[in-house]
Amino acid sequence: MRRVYLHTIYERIWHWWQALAISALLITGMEVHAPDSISLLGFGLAVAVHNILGAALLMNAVFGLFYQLSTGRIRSFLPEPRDFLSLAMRQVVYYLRGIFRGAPHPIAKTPMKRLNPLQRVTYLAILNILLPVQVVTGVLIWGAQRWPEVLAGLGGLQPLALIHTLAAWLFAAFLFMHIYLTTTAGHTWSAGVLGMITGWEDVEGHPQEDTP
Amino acid sequence: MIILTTLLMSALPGASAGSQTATTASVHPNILLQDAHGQAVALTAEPISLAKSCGACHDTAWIAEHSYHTSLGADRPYAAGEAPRPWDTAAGPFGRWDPLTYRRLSGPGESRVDATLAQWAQILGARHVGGGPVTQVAPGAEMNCLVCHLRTPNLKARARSIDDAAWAWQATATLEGGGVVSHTSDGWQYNEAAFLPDHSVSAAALGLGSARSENCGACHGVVPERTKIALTLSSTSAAPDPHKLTRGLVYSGQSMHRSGVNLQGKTKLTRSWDMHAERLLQCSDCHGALNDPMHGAQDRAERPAHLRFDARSISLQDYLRRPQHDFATGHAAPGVLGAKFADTMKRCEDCHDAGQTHEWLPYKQRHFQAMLCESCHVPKVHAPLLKTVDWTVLTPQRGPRNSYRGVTGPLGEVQSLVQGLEPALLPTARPGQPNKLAPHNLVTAFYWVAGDPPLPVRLTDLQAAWFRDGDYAPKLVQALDEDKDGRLSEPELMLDTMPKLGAVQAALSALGLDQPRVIGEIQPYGLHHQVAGRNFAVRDCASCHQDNSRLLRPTSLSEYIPAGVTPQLVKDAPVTLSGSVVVGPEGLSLRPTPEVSGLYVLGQSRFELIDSLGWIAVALVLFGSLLHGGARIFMTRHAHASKEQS
Repeated sequence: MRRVYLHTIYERIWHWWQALAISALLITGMEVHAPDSISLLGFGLAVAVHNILGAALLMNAVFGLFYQLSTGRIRSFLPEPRDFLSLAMRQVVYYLRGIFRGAPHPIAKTPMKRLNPLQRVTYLAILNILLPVQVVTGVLIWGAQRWPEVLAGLGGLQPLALIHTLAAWLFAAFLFMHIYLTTTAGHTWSAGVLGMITGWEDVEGHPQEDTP
Repeated sequence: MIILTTLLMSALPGASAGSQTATTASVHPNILLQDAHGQAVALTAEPISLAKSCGACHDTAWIAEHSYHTSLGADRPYAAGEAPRPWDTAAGPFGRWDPLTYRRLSGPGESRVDATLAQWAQILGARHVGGGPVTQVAPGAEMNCLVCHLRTPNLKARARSIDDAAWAWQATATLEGGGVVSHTSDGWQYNEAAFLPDHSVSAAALGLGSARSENCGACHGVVPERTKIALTLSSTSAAPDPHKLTRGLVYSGQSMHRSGVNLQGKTKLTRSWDMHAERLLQCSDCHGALNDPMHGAQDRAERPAHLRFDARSISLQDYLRRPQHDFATGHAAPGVLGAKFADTMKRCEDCHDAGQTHEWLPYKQRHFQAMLCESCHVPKVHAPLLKTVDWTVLTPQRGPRNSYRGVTGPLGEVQSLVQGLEPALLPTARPGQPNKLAPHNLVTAFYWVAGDPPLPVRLTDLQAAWFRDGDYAPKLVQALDEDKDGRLSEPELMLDTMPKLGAVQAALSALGLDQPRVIGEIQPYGLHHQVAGRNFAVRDCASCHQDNSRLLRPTSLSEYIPAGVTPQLVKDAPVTLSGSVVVGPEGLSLRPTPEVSGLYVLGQSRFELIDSLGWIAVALVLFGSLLHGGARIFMTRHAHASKEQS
């Protein structure tokens, strides 16, 4: 095991900001969607908080994109075409078999290769499809009263709400999966969580690791 | 409002310079009451002709031509395919049959005449201002200006005159009790003392003035005089108003808790019956004459399309000579009386800047786009409302069996508790305009039709089928008398089985009616009065944004389904039902589904499939995590145990 500095201070703030916002958005969104089932803030306040959180999420996404682009660390999110399928299969096999036998991770973590191929594909979809879709539909729903013509052109609130609701469910499913994989894939259940707090993670020794 | 808005009356030709005081009524100059030949009635003792008397200054012929209160739709025949029912011929009472009034002006060549024009004129006479088609059969039935412009018109005397077919005297009769004329055994006698030396009478003494809300209340709803007498819901109309119970129209500034109505929760109802009445608005302030230069409502057809308001108005002098009596109306079905002038009246937003006063309301513009102000500002109608009119059976009073919403106990009884009704919110259907939710009362009517093309079975035929010598026909008693006591009680008056239906069908067929059958229709009535101020308006988000919201609450249409017929929405109804008519243990009801009309209401609208898929996705992830995690724990423990053993 080697201790490696994987997550910069900005990345960690970005992550927890994002985690907090998405979790709170899911809860307040649930209250807006089904106020009979969940009543924490009251409908009116839940809508207001949901909107503020959405704006915070959007802001964080914009800052995060700027950071990733300006530092070049966005490369760590992009799947590498070379050997992608074979590496992804190794990761799948690891989750299905190796992890039960205490086998080492098939792909070493480094600051520029923090994500395995499955994570890269997932985050690519989350950050480039799901999040934008959620943000755009959310902004349009929020702006329904400001741009009624745009809303009418898109078929009213119904299609927007449908997509927004579907994306919210996918976020919820992702959130649970993310938490599980984070707590189960480290050498201890808390390793991944602590790594995202301190920036340092204990990773299995591989020859190509580097530290800042 | 219409006749007397200004002192400029003196500019009118023929106006005398009578004494004027500060009161509205006295602004009108003295008036020379003339007979049909233009002679002073004080000299001839002939019936008063208002066409002559009022026509001295006002163009009464033009006014009558520009008044749908006069024409009653006779000038608006339906185009092909426009009629809501096969037998409807024209907009308004003239040609549009109404299951509430039931009587129908028969067309030429009909073998079974329901009402001739002369009969129809008498049936509607008490609630018709005169003029229009009625003059074809009753020359003296000219437009009666006094009905609306007299402070206390004697409408009962006028109605008696019409009942007696004394059409020529109907205008004179309106003045009875005012000191000008009285009815004696010798007929109508003018009171000489009421006339001035020039044979005119004082307009102030007559009580002549602009139409007040109370005048409108003679035919529409309950509009009591502004007095301290506790309001009751007994009609203020000169004749029974079949529509009083369709809209809950009570226009009064009196506080509900001080009224004489047995309202549920009365002590807390410290609001007025209508906020606008409380603030002293008259009906004409919203439903004004369309060419009133002081009013601002304009006929859109007369206005350039690019202008919101045409500042080029006629002069007061011209207006007072020819005040248009086609009054501004609100949202209306295309085939009803006055529909040509639909959406010309002043709406809430024409006077109120809601944006300024709704800062507390999230998404206020969205709310304004999606619903009419009345959706929240008519939160409840505190009056009985008509629910079902069942003409398939006749009560001992030889009328339909009606049922009502919002009242417990017999209608009209002081002890009956008026709970009121939270109205159904239905989306309006207006071509070219955004559809908005608005409160409505749904009246379901069941009735018999016969023949091909069908016609409603005449009241006389219904009565002939149901009654023999003053009692129910024995065959019908035999078929409907469930408790076998030899009489038909009210609960037994329902055609809920085929034998009962067949018995009435046979009775109607025996009268020569071809294929008598029951049909049903649902007529929505917009609820735009009993407006509440902000303290009593709906302000709670949960009223609409939750599962059990006002938008989803079922509306009972009928306690039972006569002849198993599912009623249909009247063809030209200005709303969509936006839901489904379902049969349940409590009868027929409308289950609204706002999404059908494209509305998505946060907190209430759902995509069941998406939610189901979402739950499944989350459940699969959790299940997979538990399975995977459980397997890891098991394998880890198993590995430890193996290691220890080895």
